[in-house]
Amino acid sequence: MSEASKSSGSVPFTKITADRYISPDYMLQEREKLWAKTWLVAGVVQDVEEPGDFFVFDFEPESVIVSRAEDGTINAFYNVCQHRGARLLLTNQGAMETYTCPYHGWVYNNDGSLCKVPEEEKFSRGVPKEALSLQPLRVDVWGGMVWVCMDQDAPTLQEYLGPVIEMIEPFRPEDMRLVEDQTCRLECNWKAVFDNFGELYHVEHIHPQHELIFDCPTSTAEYFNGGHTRVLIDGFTVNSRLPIPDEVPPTQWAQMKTLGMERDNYKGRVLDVRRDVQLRKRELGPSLGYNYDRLSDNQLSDIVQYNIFPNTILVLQPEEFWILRSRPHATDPNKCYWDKFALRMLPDVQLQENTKIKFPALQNRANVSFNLDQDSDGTARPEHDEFDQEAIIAGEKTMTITLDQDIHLIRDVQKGMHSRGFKEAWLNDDEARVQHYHSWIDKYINQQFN
Amino acid sequence: MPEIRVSQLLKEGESIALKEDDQHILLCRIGGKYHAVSNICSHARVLLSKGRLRGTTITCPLHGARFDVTSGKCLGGPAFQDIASYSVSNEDNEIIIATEG
Repeated sequence: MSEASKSSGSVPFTKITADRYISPDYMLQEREKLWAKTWLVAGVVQDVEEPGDFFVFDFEPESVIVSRAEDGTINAFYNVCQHRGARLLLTNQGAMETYTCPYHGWVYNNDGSLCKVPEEEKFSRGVPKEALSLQPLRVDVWGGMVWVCMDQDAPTLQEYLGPVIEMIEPFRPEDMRLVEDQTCRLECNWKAVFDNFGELYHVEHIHPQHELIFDCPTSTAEYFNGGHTRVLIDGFTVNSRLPIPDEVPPTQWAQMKTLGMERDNYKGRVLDVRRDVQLRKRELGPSLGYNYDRLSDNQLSDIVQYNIFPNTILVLQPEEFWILRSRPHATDPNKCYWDKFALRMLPDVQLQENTKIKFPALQNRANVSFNLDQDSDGTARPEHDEFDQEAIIAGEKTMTITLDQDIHLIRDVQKGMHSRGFKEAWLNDDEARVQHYHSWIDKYINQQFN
Repeated sequence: MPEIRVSQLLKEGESIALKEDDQHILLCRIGGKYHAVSNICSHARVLLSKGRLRGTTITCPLHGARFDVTSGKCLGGPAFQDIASYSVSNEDNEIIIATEG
């Protein structure tokens, strides 16, 4: 019995019926009771590094501007002109001193204050500039991410995330740089795609490639107050339920090679690779430009995934960090936006120079984690790429093979939810993270937190 | 071919607005290379040079349309048309921009 199933006894049972995925009424309840009450990842701090930098975070029907003002503070405002309610910024990011409304030309400073109203004398009742400045919402920064919250009475971000903060900090996500920024428009409810990342039961069925990299059956899950969960999966190994191969699988080989490991040494002892990868990374980290000091040995080889309530998944490896985020559609519960931000730890050149061990075979960018195959080297911010799920299905776009496989499937789950033949989900012990997540959805929707 | 000669060398990351006859040009220096594009936003006819340059991207100061100054390509915002891009050469501390005339 896996650790995951052992600990699921504490997760309360929640009836997961189809209405929460397809009902417009349920969608409106979420808007008032869930989205308006929780802390949400708005974007990455990298996008507001300098004064004037801004980005727009849309979670329909809301839109939020996150900007760094000239005095260096980061602010968040609703993206709406206070004159007639027009959407103020129609772009997703950039750097501006002031924002001019496209409709009648009201001008706001990048700290949100209203600075100019054309033909102000026409407003005989005056223009109270302070009251008509952009409407702020709460904003905080942690883990290289900017977080926003619409509820003035909600707990602080630190309280909201709880123990997750200390667990993630050794990975130093704030030191990583964006290498990929994608959005796929999915034809499923925003929770349907999130649920998919709440269990590993499906992995053997739709992600066969994982058998030769990870050992999902021995994964361990944890359930946190607030609806967050974590799962730890051994990496640089193979699925322990299946026959152990004699040779190191090619999927691990690419990474092992850059760590100077000989494939032939592991013939007949593939299960030793994980431990040796940990030792090699520990030994060679500085010469590769990676500071692994705060990470445990297991963290050097394994993969850890946090599902942050209500809509964000953080996947961490020492050299790489993914932010996966599901955003609702304005009017249709059968649609959502699925974002992937991929960030990479850039090798520390100073650390490399200071180290006594020289490892000439390695280039600046050692391929030592599972997905470091993007083209970008992290020096220039990648352009945002947005596309329909059809582009993935047609093979024109990819969000990596694993996410693509999920996208192929998820629209059909949404279709099934509409059937008279479907009543409610029947979850197993390994799907307890889904259960935990939905029990917290219920707490918010019912506004009962005890 | 009509051209504009500029004797002023730019600092890294610097950009300047040039005007010759009715032609508005934005000249930038990025990564040691010079790039010239039209200085007029394809959305609202505003001078892009009053906007902020980050990397190779300039944001229009009015409504936030974005352009890649190395190619003139429109990157987003309310604009959807690219802006003209001009080839630039260096000769004896002089920058030569080949304009369309």
